[in-house]
Amino acid sequence: MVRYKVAKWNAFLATRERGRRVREDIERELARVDAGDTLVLDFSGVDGITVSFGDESVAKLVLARTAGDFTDRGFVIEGTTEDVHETLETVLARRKLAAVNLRPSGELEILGVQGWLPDTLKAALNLRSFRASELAERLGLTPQAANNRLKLLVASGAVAKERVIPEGGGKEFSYKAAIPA
Amino acid sequence: MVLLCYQCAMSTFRLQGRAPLLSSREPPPHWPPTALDLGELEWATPFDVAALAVLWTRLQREQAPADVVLPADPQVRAYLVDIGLDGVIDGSWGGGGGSRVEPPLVRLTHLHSGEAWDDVLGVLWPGVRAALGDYTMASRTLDIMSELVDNAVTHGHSALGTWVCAQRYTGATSGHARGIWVGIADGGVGIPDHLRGNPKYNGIRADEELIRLARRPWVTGTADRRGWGLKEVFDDAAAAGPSDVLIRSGRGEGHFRLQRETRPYARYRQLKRPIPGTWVHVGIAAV
Repeated sequence: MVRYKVAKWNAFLATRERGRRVREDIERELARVDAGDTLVLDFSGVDGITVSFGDESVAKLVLARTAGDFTDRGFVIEGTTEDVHETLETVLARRKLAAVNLRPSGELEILGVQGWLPDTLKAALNLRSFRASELAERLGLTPQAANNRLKLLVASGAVAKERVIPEGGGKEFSYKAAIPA
Repeated sequence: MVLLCYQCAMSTFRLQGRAPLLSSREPPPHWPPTALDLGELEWATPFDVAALAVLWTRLQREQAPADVVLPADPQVRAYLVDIGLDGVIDGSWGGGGGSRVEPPLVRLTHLHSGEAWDDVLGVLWPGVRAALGDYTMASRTLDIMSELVDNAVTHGHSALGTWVCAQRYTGATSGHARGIWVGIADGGVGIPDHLRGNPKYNGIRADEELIRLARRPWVTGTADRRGWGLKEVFDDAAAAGPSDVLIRSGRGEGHFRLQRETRPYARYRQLKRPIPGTWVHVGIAAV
């Protein structure tokens, strides 16, 4: 896992302009991370962030993943204060997005939209490396429903996806949990 | 008490009494003034200071020099030095210190970009936190200031820049409730004309109606669904309530009283003459 220290920018992060710069820097770092590896967004040392900063940096990073950017590698949030935690929760929920936060206890939690995501994350972490059909079987879902859930899970950074070429040809993806169980 | 008096015939912009710009319901009447008379100024809030700074900057940019009469009261003069207005308006201000009001929480700061505010926060955050001694209040105050700055430098961007400052009041001399007052002023296009850039709102003629709409999330109608800034200011101010927010922009004014879990009291009105840009006051209850 590669660590990105957000606090290198400041202890209190405020504006959209700065948020965009931080996101672009994180994306540069993500580009250097090996496929299948994970970037830890380490917020330790950051006392507070505004909603505008959180939206422009983290929420838009997740949003870019829904469009397919850097989905072959994962990312996880760590080291948030209560204030930062609450702000990230707010900005992600407003955009109906999610990210995974690693608590000091080692426990994982979803920030943002919840719904079926915690159960899906749990199943993905148990499977570690899987196809959509295997997740569908584990959760008793249709393949289409499993694919829909995987879209949000991949965007959250918890799972990385990689294109594979099946024996019979066509297009298929394999998924790998990008964070420790 | 006369809070604000203009001697239009002489083009003198005369500010007298307590908090003349915040208390007054009128913007400067004639532009450019040939003189700025602060001689009888008794008390200036962060709103007054920020608005004065942006007006003076405009005069400088327009190369319309005005004579200045500084406050006669040495305490008022000292306070305006403490908050940094002496760095903007020319004159023999003398030294600071000795004011009855405690040192400014955030001195007058001139910004041309959001990143500049983030850079300032590197120094400001530990200082404000130490001064207030309360993490939540410090964070809330800087959240409010940051969202207002972000709005101003983005939507109200102009060569005049954005001016912002803040003061904590104990209430001992002002007679007001204890609190933190924030003032921010820009010389940009203003909220009403900015919103009219969105076809959805360009038919709305009343500026005060557009100030009412500005509180809605995603109001700017940009493709990336931003526009939470002002809503956040109101949410933070309500959480710290009772709070006051005053917005003047263009010909519109919105005045809001906010309290946690209470429907906000809002009053809108049309100004007789337009404000150049957007001027905002936020007063939140302090620890």
